[in-house]
Amino acid sequence: MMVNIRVNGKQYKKDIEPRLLLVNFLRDELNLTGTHIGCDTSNCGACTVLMDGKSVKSCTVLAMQANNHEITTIEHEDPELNAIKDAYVEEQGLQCGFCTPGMIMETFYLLKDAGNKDVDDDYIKKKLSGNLCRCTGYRSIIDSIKKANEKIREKEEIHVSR
Amino acid sequence: MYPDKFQYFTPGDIASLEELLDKYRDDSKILAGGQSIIPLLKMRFTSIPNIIDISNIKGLNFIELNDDLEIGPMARTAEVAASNIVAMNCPLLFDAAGKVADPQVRNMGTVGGDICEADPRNDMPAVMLALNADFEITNSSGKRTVNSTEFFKDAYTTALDSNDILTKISIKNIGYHGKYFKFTTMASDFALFAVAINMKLNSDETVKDIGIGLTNVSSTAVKANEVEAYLKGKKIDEKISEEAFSKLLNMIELDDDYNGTKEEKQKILKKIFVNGLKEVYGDSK
Amino acid sequence: MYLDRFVNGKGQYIDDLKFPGMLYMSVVRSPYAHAKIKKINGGLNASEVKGFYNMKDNDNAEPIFAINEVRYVGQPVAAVFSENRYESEDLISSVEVDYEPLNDAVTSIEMALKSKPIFGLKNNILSTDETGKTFDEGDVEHDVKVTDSIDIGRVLANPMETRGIIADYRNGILHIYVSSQSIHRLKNYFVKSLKQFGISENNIVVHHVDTGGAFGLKAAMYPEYIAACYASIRYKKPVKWIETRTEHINSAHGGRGIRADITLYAKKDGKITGLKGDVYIDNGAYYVDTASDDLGNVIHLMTGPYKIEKAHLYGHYVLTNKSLNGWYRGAGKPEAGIVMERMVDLLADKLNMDMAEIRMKNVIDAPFKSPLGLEFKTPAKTLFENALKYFDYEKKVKEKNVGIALFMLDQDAAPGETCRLIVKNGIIHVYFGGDVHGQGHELFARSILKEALAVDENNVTLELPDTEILKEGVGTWGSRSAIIHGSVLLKTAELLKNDVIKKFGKYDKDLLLNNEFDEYYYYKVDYNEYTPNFNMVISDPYVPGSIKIYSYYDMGKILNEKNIMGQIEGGAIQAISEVLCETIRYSDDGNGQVLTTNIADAGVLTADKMPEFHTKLVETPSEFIDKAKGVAESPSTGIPIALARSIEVQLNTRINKFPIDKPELFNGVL
Ligand code: FES
Ligand code: FES
Repeated sequence: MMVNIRVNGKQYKKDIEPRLLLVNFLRDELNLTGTHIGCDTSNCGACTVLMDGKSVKSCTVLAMQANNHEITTIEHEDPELNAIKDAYVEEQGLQCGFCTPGMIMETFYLLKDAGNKDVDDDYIKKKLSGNLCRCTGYRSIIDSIKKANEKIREKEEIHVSR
Repeated sequence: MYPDKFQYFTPGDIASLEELLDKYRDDSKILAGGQSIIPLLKMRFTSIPNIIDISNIKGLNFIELNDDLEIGPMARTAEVAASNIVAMNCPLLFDAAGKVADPQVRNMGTVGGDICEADPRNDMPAVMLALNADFEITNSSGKRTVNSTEFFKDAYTTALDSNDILTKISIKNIGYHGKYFKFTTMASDFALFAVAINMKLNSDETVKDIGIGLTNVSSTAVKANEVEAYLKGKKIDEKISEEAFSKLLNMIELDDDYNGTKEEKQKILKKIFVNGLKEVYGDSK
Repeated sequence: MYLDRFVNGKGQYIDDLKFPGMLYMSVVRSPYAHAKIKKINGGLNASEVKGFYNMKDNDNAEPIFAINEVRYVGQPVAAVFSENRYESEDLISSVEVDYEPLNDAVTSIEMALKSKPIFGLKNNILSTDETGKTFDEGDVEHDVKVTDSIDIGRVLANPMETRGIIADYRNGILHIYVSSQSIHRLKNYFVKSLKQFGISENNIVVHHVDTGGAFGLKAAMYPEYIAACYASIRYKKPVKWIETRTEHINSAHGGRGIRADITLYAKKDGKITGLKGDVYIDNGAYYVDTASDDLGNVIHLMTGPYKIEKAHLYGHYVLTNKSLNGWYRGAGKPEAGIVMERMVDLLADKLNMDMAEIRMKNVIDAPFKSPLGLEFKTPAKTLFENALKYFDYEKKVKEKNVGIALFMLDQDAAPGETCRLIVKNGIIHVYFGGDVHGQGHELFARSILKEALAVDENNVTLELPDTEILKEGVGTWGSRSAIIHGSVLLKTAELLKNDVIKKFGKYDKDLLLNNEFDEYYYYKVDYNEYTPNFNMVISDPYVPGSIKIYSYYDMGKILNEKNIMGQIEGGAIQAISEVLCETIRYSDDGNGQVLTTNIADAGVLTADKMPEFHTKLVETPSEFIDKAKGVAESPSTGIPIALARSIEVQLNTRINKFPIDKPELFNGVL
């Protein structure tokens, strides 16, 4: 079946099997291998991408369901997303790096979703319930998210004051 | 792990959906958000030759306050959990929707799907029972309304026929106080058990109406009829709650397993139930 | 830098690699824990590949594909292949296997010890090891003795990236790309296992790829790897196998899985005079070399930081109808610590002594050769005293539920490690013999070379070697990365410096970077380093999120503080789940089914279970060149001990089983 999916701002038209999962569409058809697979049961969130701006588990979405929708992955170029990536590097919010793309995409979503709400430890912990990391114990991930929030807010302020 | 092959349809309106369902009946399944069914397909626990995605049908995603609070089958769980209308009119549903699975699953999954899947561990069936919700069901020969108490038959089994579509969830009991008390094990976000309570008081602080639903204490969600009847007209205190719990025990089945013996589980459930009643009663005053 | 690659989704993990014409392999696995195979039809199976994969010839070695019988759920029976991964999974159902189920599966140490022999031996014990000298109760001076049986459940490594491999046989060379902790160790295994198929050492190259976590799992050999290699040779195509999480749960090596029946003898004043007992390991269904390391560690390390003169232990390998026992973060070392410290607490309770006081009474205060055969050069007493003082133990123990842990971190320094530095186009390319999977190799490589060679950090990149670029190497495990990789790097950097001096008569960084150099060094070490470390935990099981972790660790020299913190925090959450909920469950009805079905049920925790941290790092330089000491396995040892005690104090019930498995703890419903 034909699908039309916009990924990171680029339109892709592909003929696929209806059973193809979005994660395999991204990884195998488009070679965007930053989105990972860590489980079979929708537990780990390594496959998290945004669909129309909302985080979803691409291992639990059919590529067909994304037809005519907009997908954003870790490979996307965006100033806010870059700020988040920088924060993860500075805070060493990763060890083996396997959960990281999913963590970053969920961070991207949760910070947007929080709007102007303050994101403290408790808020972040709750919102990360769909992502597993076996290496870091999450402390550095939470610090990365807080730092990312600061970075993004700083940028916004600069923007406003200009 | 990948699903077996299937045909995939995206009807654009209800009429074409009905047509497809009439054609494929038992060999088909409706896909709303897919958060229950895709995992089953991936594990190949089930194989469904025809998948019918209803996300392209206009008019199925709504959250509206008319006489009742009305929710469409494509309303995403996250939308329900963020809706002001729901928060104002149905705090139980608002609270419970925010406790389903995790953020990503809530963004994709629907309240309707959670109901129709009728996994005994799903959260929405018990919530619907506590709310006394009505379900509008549509098929090619017309519409009918089924009350939630008539809907959940057994694990994964509902009153839906193979060509039926859940087209609307209606909640009459609005303006109540309520909360969903979900007890999970350390690592899982599925309920080991959960209690949904929806409550309204008379001006003298006696219970005017109460709905209680339980998750994962039987092969299907349980509505605690006897307990509700017992509590009506009463002021809730420690003693009344304990008595209510002993009535509840007759309606549920708990087994020994690695999460604890039957007795240990009863102890936990009791605590959740009694504290929950107290909290919602307090909120209602 | 690798951090930059990873945050941008540019990592190259095994499943990210694609080769032209590549086949995907799916594995047909046994649904039974014990059954005879009467007939098998389809796929690549033992009728063609009739061989074993383990290093040692042993009667109970595991075959690559099951031969005539299956011994655990998930055992490989056949493999199927397709260029499309979905279709390769479809093909699984095309293989017909006719089983005769035996319904006599043993799935715990208890069951195996009680059951009739089912593995063709005289009982279900594969073999027994021994440490120390036997002694009679009468020979040991004592006023009291305490005995208990301590059970540490089986857990899985569950790295976020599962196992995976690509075997690519081209032009007579078998190229193996594998998610691993040590390409050299794996090469060794491959050489031994592939000899039977006519492949010799010179024809095998193993490549290091980005590895998404390992925790012991990825230093071992597995039947699927050999199947993929065989298939690549046979079909003349690259063959990729990526383990699913479900396969991981059923078939990968499990760790821990120990029962220890221990007796401690002591005098009234708390002085421990003797230790003896039996340790059983849940070995799984076949002989496996990894289990001997695990059990070996338990029975050698048990006396830990204590000066106990008489000790004797038996270690029994108990066969069960389960996947095999492997390494998991610490591989027997945490188990030794947990058992010892649980016994010390029991003794303290019996004698009505404070738990710190009884430890102080027995702690090693001078170099000590343990009766179980280890040499501890660093006494533990000073660190212990300092830690208690630093965290104000005396005061805290009076007001809260406190648990403490004192242990010797055994850092696997031996046999050393290799490093190669290639300088080209202004960049120093670093190759380590130990694989990289989250230990911050690049970070400390940069800071060490910055200091040693006066270069900019941006002049240093960490490369992933293959077994050609780096012919020898050891691996990454056993809390060794910082010490051994740091040391060999310093040594190799020194060689580079000498090269520059030899050529130009002096050293400066531009002379180095503007020219080409290539240096290699194998830093050989023949001993392990034992470092005393300390943990304390305060918790209230009635209150969610109340776990506070205090760590007092001797780092020798701190190479990268954030990285050390990350190791502690990551180890902490694993420790918490091991105490409270993490394990792999099997039915005990003779069917031996795996009851755990997903990674959450297996006990891997989410962020909301994160504890509070109080960490003090001290620096007593080690004897290694870079002065560092290890860390990764300290939290896995100390935290479970202290946490269990803290819960025990509050609940007033003896804890001798891990996980505790009471979902109401820390859940707000007690
Ligand atoms: S791979 Fe999607 S949740 Fe694990
Ligand atoms: S960094 Fe390894 S799983 Fe998160």
